[in-house]
Amino acid sequence: MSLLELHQVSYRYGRSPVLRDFDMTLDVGDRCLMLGPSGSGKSTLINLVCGFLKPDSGTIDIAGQRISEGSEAARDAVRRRHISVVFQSLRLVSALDIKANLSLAARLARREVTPRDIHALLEEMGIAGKAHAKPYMLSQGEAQRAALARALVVKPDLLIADEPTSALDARNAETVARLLLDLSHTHGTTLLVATHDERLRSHFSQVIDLHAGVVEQIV
Amino acid sequence: MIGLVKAYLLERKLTTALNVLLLAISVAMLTLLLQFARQSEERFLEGAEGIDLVIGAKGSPLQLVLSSVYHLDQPTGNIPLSALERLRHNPLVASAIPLALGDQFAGFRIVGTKSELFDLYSAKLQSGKTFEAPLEAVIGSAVAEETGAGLGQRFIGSHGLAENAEGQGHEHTPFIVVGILEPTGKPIDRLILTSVESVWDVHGIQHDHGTAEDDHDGHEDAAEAHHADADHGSHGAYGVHGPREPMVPEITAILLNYRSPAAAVRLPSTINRNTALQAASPAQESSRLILLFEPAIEALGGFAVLLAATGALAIFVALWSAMRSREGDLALLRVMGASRAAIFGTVLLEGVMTALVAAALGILAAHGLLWLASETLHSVGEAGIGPGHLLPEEIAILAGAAALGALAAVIPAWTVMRNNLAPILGRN
Repeated sequence: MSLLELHQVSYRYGRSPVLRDFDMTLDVGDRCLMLGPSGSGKSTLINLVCGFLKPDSGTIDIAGQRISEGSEAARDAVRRRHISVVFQSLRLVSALDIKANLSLAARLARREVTPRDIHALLEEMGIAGKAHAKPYMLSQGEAQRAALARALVVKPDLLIADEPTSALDARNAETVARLLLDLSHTHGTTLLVATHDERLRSHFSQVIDLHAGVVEQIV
Repeated sequence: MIGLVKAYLLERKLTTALNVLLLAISVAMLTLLLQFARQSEERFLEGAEGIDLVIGAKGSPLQLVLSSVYHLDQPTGNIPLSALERLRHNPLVASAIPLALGDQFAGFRIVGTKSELFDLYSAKLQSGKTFEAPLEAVIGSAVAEETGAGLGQRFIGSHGLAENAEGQGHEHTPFIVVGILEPTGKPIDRLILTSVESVWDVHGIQHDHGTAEDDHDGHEDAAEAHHADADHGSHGAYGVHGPREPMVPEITAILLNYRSPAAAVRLPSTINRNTALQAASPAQESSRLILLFEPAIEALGGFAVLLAATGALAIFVALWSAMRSREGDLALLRVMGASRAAIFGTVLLEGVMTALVAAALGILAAHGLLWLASETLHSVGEAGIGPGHLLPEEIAILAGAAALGALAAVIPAWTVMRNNLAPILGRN
């Protein structure tokens, strides 16, 4: 059963086309790497999938619900129900501690989450001791884990990671890639990783090579 | 979202504290003015409650009311005793209470009067009895508290009405405290009350019995004792007379109550036009006095409002710069499912919360300052100004502050709400 389906999606910024007749399907439980250099259309694709942008043409469906059309409130609702995103640097709300960040995410997604659930998730991430720490008090690795915990606490159907390893050395990049794959497996979440980091290719069985908004190769 | 707003405010502690302080100062100033104006007005109106008209010597009507009702100013002079008798027999008059002023003890005025004055100020005896015999005195609660005088205590009055008056003491005619009044919050708390005849006796004025007061024994003895070595200087209503100058019994003022509302129309104008006396309405003179203060209070109020506007501007600047640095956070909230309205509400709430905290602190500070001033500044306590209670206008100040906070936040909130997420997410 397909969770995410993009059909003939095109998008242009002014006169410059970013995506052209783009097709993509992710089934429930898929783990997909979208590889492409800067400007290849990865971020635009994430914005379209999340409903922040509307495609010029084509359709995008998530769990049978169309996110490429309708009012902003309707698109917000689809995103809230199905998607979590981990950004490269936009990770956590700076004024709140880690536990409060997770609670806030759950509240905004309208998910019933108990303090025990949050503790268990932080334990799983190995950062339970940082529950009351502010984001600036965490190391880069801890912050990344906290951001992943925040994304998973809402039990998303689709977890999108945008450039999760770009600032990391090879060892840490490897750790993050494994963590993403393990978590998506444990939590039964479909995973879409958008990156230009070639080091991640070996970890994914499903890879989409994107160049100038056109799929060059699907492995 | 309240938790998030609280966290944002605490994240910028210094900026938040300064904004709160600025607005709190203006709110405190407004509250102080409001309380001062209201309490002064209440004290004035309470003080004059039950007194329809004051009769005294010609002069300033405000001075007559201030000296006879509130016991704050110097009397306008004395009036003949016969005026009291005439007014008592006037069909328009329900009651006429004489006042004879001129002396003081420890800064508290000694007032020669009748015990009916207690009823006029709704004063009750806390202990002892009312004055009957010559040189018996009943003291107000503030007099008892501040001088430590108790029942049976003897004291010597001095010429003049001010505490620092340099008049001579009446050593040969000491008063004795026979009663202490319960606190009323009215001018009577600060008075020493005795019979009019006792005031005459102290000043060596011969008088017939049964004039201003019922029969008393011993006035002649007291008067004679006074005459043995009387040497008065200028002091209050009984101010200008030499040692051998024959004096006639006089009083300083009369407090009147009308028998019917019609008296209010006829009596003051008749007295002012046809006699050598002056009639002044405490209600009118109090209003006139309050009106005199109004421009100053309004000017200070205007300054406080200007200060509040500066506070709102500071909140606006703080929120505007915070929104620039918080763009990413707010975009993240949108990604996590917050609607644009929720983002707008979050920023608006931040402005409103800042202003509400400031207003609450300002109001608390104002009441605290009033309490402190009433405890430490003699003149403030004497004027009956205290911490006061929460006025409806203070609730309006709170609401106004909340509106000001919302107004200061509306532009930053609108700007953030309209933000396009894609470029912000792309930047990061």
